[in-house]
Amino acid sequence: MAKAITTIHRLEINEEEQRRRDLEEIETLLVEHKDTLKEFLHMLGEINKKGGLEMGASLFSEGDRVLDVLVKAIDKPEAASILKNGLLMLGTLGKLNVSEMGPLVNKLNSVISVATKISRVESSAVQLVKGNTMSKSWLVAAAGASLAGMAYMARKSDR
Amino acid sequence: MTEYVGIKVNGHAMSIPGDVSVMQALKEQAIDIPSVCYHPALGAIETCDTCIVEVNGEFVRSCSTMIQDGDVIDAVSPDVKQAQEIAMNRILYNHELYCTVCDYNNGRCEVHNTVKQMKIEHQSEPFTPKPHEIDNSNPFYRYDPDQCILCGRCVEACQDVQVTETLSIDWSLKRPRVIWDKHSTINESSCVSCGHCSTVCPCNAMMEKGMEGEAGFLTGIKKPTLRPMIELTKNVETGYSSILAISDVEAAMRESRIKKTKTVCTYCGVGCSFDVWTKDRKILKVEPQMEAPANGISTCIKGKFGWDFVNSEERLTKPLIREGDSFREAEWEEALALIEGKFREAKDTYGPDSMAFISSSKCTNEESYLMQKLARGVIGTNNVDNCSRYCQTPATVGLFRTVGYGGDSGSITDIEQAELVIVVGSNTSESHPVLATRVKRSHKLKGQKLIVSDLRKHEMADRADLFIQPRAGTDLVWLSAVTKYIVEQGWADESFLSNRVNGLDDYVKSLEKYTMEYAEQVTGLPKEMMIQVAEAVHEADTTSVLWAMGVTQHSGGSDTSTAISNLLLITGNYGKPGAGSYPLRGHNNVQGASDFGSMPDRFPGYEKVADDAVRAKYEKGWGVKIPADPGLNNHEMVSGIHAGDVKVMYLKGEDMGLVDSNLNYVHEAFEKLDFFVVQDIFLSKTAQYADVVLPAAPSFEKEGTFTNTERRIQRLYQVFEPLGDSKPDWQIIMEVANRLGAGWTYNHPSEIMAEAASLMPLYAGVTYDRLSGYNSLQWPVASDGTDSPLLFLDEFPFPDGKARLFPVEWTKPLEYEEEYDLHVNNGRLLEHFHEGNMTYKSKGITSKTPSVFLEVSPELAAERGLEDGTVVRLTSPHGSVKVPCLVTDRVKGKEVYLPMNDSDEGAINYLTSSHADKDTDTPAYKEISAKMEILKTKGDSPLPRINSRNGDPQPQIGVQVEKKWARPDYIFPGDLVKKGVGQRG
Ligand code: SF4
Ligand code: SF4
Ligand code: SF4
Ligand code: FES
Repeated sequence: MAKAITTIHRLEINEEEQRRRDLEEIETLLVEHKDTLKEFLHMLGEINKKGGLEMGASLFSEGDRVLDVLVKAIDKPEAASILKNGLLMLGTLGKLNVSEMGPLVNKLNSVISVATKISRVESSAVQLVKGNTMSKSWLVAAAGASLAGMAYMARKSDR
Repeated sequence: MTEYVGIKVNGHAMSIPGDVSVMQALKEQAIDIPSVCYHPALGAIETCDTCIVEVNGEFVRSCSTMIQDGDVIDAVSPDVKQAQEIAMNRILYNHELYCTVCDYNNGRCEVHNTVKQMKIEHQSEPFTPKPHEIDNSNPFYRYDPDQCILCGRCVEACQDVQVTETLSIDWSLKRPRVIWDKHSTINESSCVSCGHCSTVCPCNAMMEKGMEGEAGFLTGIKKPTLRPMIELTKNVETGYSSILAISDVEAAMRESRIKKTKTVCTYCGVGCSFDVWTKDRKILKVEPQMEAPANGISTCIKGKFGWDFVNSEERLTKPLIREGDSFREAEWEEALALIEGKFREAKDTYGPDSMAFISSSKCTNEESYLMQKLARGVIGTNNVDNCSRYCQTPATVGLFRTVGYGGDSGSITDIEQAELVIVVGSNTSESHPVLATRVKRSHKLKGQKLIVSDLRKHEMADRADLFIQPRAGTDLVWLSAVTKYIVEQGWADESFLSNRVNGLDDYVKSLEKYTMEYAEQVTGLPKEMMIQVAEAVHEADTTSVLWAMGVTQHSGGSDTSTAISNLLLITGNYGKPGAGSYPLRGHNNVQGASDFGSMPDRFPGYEKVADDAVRAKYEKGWGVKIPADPGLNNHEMVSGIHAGDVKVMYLKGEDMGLVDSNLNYVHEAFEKLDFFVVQDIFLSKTAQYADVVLPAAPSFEKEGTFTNTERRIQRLYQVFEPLGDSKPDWQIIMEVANRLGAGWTYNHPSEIMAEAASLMPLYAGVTYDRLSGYNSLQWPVASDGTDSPLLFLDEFPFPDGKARLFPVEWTKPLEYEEEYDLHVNNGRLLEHFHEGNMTYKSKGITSKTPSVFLEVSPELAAERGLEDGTVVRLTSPHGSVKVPCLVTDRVKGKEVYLPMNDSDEGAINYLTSSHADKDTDTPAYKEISAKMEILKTKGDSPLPRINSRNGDPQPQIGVQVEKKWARPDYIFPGDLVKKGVGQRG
């Protein structure tokens, strides 16, 4: 007599196992995105060297120190999602095959030129683009966009 | 024959086919002109004016102007450009460009693309917001008047494609907007949430809520922050080209993040296909495509918005094993080992026929194929069936008898072009919503005649030219009387009958008893009405008959299906476009499950098990021995369990414990099984009786093919990885088979299809390559890949190529004792699927239709003191249900209607009996009577105010652009250019 039953005893995973799985997951992610991450870190260094982070802030004409506001911005729930999206954007860019994207690259160039026009630290962006590979300038633009977005947000919420 | 005409385009003379619009002609010459309001599925709407060109010196809208011989067309002059720009400026006055932070910025926004195409940098009249609020009230989509360019596509789609007739544009307002009914909110209107409007909207004005804040990298920013960001962007950007450039970059990046996967709907036999947009496991939207063969841009609420169940927390993610009074999760290894042991034991102890296998009409063709291969080839029994036994097998039998193929005679497009459509026992607009839209459209716009025969006055009945309500279970009688009358009037198609049909004399003799008088007495229909039907069939060049469970789920279901086919044969309504028989298949793969041999007496392709040559073919193909005797069908399996003959059952994807009739009897059977394996995505009612439950993967998590009601085979692609440890059914069946020594090695469903196609002539030419993307094939498919959208063009699949008239007798429906004084009709609701364990998982759907209810007539309500919300118990000799009432004139007298979408106390099958169609054992679900007691007099109405039934549709044809043109502030851009005046519009 097999009566209808509805109770289910779940297979418990102990804490240690869960931790092992989490770590494994992170490891896989890191390995999968190794190149993107390397490039991103490298780029952050580059940007910093060449005043790019300042550019991000200066886009908004008030010159907030980006790293400064970054820290503040991260507390805001909305900023977290923008940050996440900014990073995802970078990840995506890292995967793009730039040689197949001629027309878009041209458009991007015009974006950057617009950005430099309104930026007070005009030269920094130009410097950044010059002498770098196309792929890098993509990353720069994305980083600029996301950092600028965050800076702007942080400034808004500071007021 | 297309006539060619000579025209001149931008100074060049050319000759082109004459039956096209100027716009089409230009597009074919690769001259791209703006066309913001034009949508190929909707035709010319004429609201946007961006497509203006000069023809013979006059400015015209190119979308609505047909080419004529000698036309001189100018599409490039500065005047033309200026007129187009005026039109585009009017659009931008109504729509703000903030593309980078817009969820619709996915490369397909037509406002964005047209601004780019026209190289517009600045607009002469700035955007200003409209004095209307965003309407967020509907759970599935929202309307933002500020972004609405008043193109009217949504209205056109709602009025004339979906034909729910909710939308219009109020052209009398200072700033016009789209309105629902008479200015109600979306959620309180007659809107059925089919999604046509958001599908065709060229911009973000009408948008699926799943997209909001999800589609872009910089979207999802809350309004207080978003607003200044938009302002800021506009301040720093000097012209549109740079704004658009940034957003193009961002749109390109979205491409790699949002996955678009073609899939096929699993909610009914129409077989809508569409792209699903996903981000990780989040479903952003369902986007039907023009090229989708069955549905084009159409969907219903379930296909467009009903997929939350895929990510439901209630999904099974691990095998479950019964242990005492509960299940425990287990690993696959343990579950499979247990199954192996029990299956071997039963087979060795009691023989292969002690085991029974039930396949599912929700699963893929490949999975059905494997299930019957497991039963026949590995276990050695023909005890295999599928749940189309519950609905459509009688229709298949009726067609086999008369025309030789058990499927729809043509395609949905044939139904669309029929001069006369007769719907018998089908609530088409709720059960096959997208197919119904084609009938509603042809009826509204193209003069198609519609006759509906049903117990209930549902939407199709409301729209019909003639609505007849015969007594329950008497369709065969009026059909035969009409046929007899046609023969007597000399209206039979003599040449068709003599060239293409056998058995005329015997058949005509069998009609003798079906006199009008007899039919009047049995059906309760007046003679005049039946004559009207006969005349309508006689007057129409093409008649298509649609039928469903109102016909099949009766004691004489196969015979009534046969009578329909006989009527069509007598009147020559086979083998020509627009004519034929269309049994509407209920589940997505009812057709396919039977096509692939999940039937006790048939191999795949309907070849008989008892046929030695066929069996030899399969024995050779599979390298096994197959028993010659047909096995048990579902119905017989249940009695077999009760009799102690069937000991073990393996059932996949079917909630037999709710959908079979006489549930108490079925549940008792489950309890008697020695070992019961159920494979499902949820712990269904049936699974609750199982010893082992195997977690399966739904359609979004696997590949395969479905065959829809038109015999159309379509591929589904994998959207997500299977959740947790769940697996696609084909893999599970293979693992079970291999445990038993089968040695199957399929790596992909395409390999299963290849094997099946090599064995079944009906699918001979079916390959995954031929089905790639939106390509489809309609069986029979010859080995060179030629398919058959319309059957019987030259011959019927019988040895002499002729169809057969098949005499049938009326079977009186089941009679009940006097105390069971109410007839309980049953069927579907638009919003829910079957017992509802998928659709109730959608919060939106559940908010619209939270539960089932009993429809009672105003007469019965008055007599018994019932009101909306009164809770009653219905009791039949087999069981009882408890439900709240809804008083409605959809039903009359002592007829009540109980939708099947409940898995609890309201489940209809507690009332039904084991009585079945005498030819197929399909339960006579529609033959129930019950008595009623009131449990609670007062209660809340079971139908919330926000259900579409409470709306107030406003039928009109299209968007009524003439009203726009008549506004004092409207001047045709062409006139402005001529006069050289300002640009306001
Ligand atoms: S019924 Fe509703 S969802 Fe469907 S087109 Fe009309 S307004 Fe849109
Ligand atoms: S909401 Fe309707 S009228 Fe407005 S833009 Fe979209 S489709 Fe056009
Ligand atoms: S349920 Fe039927 S009509 Fe609705 S979308 Fe799915 S296949 Fe199409
Ligand atoms: S496309 Fe012709 S008026 Fe809109």
